Amino acid sequence: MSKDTYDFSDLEAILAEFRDEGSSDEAYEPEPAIEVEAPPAPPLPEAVSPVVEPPAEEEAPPREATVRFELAPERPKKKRPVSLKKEPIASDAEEAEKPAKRPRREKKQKEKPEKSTPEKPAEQASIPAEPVYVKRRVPGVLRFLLSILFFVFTLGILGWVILYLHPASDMLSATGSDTRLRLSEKLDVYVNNATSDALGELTYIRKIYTLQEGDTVAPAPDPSGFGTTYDPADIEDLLQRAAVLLDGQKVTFDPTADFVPDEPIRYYLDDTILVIAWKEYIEQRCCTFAEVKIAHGSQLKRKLAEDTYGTSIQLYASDMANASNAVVAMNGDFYSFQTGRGVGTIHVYQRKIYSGKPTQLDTCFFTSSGDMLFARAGELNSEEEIQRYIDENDAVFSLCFGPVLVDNGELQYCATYPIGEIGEEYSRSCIAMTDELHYLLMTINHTPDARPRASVNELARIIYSKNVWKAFNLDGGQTAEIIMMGGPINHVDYGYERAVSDIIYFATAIPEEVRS
Amino acid sequence: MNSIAVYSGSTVIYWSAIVISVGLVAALFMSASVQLSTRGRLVSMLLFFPLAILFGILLTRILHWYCHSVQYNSFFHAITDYSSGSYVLPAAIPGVWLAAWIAAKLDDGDTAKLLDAAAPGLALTVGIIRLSALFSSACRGKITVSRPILQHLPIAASNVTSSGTVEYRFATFFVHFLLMLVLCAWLLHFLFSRRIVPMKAGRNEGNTIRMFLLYYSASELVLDSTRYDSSFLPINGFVSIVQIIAAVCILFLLIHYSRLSIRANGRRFWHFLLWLLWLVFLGGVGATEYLVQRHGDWYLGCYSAMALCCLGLALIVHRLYLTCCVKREEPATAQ
Repeated sequence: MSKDTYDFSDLEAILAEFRDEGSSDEAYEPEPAIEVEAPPAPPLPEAVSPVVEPPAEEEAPPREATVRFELAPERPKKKRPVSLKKEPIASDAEEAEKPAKRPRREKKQKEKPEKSTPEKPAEQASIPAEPVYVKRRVPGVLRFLLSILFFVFTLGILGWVILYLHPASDMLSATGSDTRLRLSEKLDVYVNNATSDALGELTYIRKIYTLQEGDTVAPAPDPSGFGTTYDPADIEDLLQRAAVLLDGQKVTFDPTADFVPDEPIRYYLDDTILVIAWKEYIEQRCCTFAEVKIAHGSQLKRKLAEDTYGTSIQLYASDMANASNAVVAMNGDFYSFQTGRGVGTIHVYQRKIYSGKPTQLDTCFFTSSGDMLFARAGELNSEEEIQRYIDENDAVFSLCFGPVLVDNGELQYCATYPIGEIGEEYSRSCIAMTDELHYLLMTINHTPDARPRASVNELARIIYSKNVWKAFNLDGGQTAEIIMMGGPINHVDYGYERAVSDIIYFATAIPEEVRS
Repeated sequence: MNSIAVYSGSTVIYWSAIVISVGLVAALFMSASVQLSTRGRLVSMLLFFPLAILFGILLTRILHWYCHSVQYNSFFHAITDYSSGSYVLPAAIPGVWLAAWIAAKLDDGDTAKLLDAAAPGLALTVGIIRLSALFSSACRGKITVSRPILQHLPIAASNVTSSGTVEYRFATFFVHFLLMLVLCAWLLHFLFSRRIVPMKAGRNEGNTIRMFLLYYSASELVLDSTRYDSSFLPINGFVSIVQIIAAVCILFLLIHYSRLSIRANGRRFWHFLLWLLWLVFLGGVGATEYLVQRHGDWYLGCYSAMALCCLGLALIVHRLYLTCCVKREEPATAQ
């Protein structure tokens, strides 16, 4: 091709053509390009043709393309990029001789068509069967539009996040049910308490106060009602003062028991609740008891962590007891721990079924009148049956652990049970009923002097010896504790409480404004 | 502080949601600028970010549903109604990876490189999400701080209980926020300083996101234990799901860099030494977790030891990564 055949007036067109090719073939090279030392430029011959050298990415300004003249035999139809194939260095070459020892990934990369060397070597180029992979890139304008689109999409997502995402709002419909007005219940409670106050001024009729079922916090107990003593005889005086509340019922507390030395007897008394808590040795075991007599069934309550069923939050039982103004409290069934054990659970809270799966566990229902009712494993097999049971018995909440220790005054023997390692010696806890609205809470714990703990059947035998009518086993181990006067009164395993999901507690029903 | 920022009709906007959104915008801009400065494509990052948010939220909710299925009426309710319920944050890891993979595939990019550019932004996002807990009274530290002199940030945060009383608890989320800020800054430094260091084995791409995963997991391993609302698998009530995921991530990274290190250096004695040390640290984490669950009043010693063990776990993996890199940088090419 001679000089005459190439017209310099085409320079702009050629430039434009190369620019277009450069932009359309712009390779995605996130890495810094491998620098290949360019061979020294040959001296320019006379016959030259303009060839536009596309600017390197790093060279600024990018628009300024340099024009170099060289022998132009024929402009190639396709751009021939400079081969970036590396010549292996000596050590690499040795490695290259052992392809079998190369890592698999490197072999795969070898097999792949190299991105940076689209041009095949001369000897390979003659092989027609070799497929040519051409990367399809998104054109620049379309990429810009896509960027705008995705940015708007991102803004939309953020708007959705602002409006609908409420992290850590793990509230359940339980709280939703609490937000109901409960006007009739509130009216009943108000009328009942007001009537009691009014009649109390006129005649000697005993006042009966009640608590609302939906209340998560009870009235604070009277601080002057608490007391401690080391002399069991002092309790006799307390019992005389509680004669109206006891209404002729016998107490389990025995002044002649084998009390644990240097351990105080704690008590609380007002018009609606009597609590006596003590520790005694039975069969070498350290047993902690809390005897409770309440005036109304609504004073026996269950508290869940954050007052929400199913929350991931777990709290110390003493924190929950203090937050709910409990006079005395104990651990419950630790429902959140046993939900996933695959044994099925029945959980009723504020008359609502939260878990109604057929269960292999015994369930203890507490009615609005304060009674304990047992549903044995397999007795209630559907939510409909559970709902019918709740309606017929006026059940308020349930505890699902077990087994039943004493039923209708009869000691129950349990050979096997799905949970609770009943044959092992562990710290144990149970709740029992001795009479109407009369309860006995008990734990058997590890002690600093390493006294034995109990299996479930041993626990049943000990609680049965206290002449209880009904008794139900609750969660044990580090969970087993009785809380009174701000903290656990028994020796909790490892000396420190475990965070749990629920407790049961007894509260005074006297409104704070009445007491003041 | 009232957790609701805007209340208009049926529209309620919480402060925490606003903080998270602002944090996401900041993270997006950071990631986009990093992407551009590393010669990546903006369109990839812009596609990656919303996908990562969507997948992340979905997966974190699904795992929370799995751990707390009783909180939701149904699975469908859990993944469609986000006005209530909660999330398990580390479950977003596969979601983020999936989003990066899709974005890279659609734009012929490199997943690892895209994730590298997003890593500092991800650290910032996690940090902001943790910070938002302060605006929703959800900073749920297990440790109660009773000394008045300690009842302020960054040690303790006030928390209003359901009964209305104010209590001060260890500000675990705020501490996590601070750690993530430091991690974000360090990742930026790492990204720009280490990407030019050649590796004896493996690719340079992906190391930044792995470092984020490593140190984020290490922080979660210890800080999740300090929460009183940890999520547990239904079959296991002692080791939280977050701790399990974090430990698995660190183990995965240990295996990855061990393979690379052996490929680069051959099997050496110090490999066994590092692995043994890693197992010792892992045992230390398990032992301290066991102790703090039984003896809650030992928290100071237990959590200090656990933090050191977690740091040790991460540093060993980091050390293995360094053995894969060329020690001395090549001198600059002659001008």
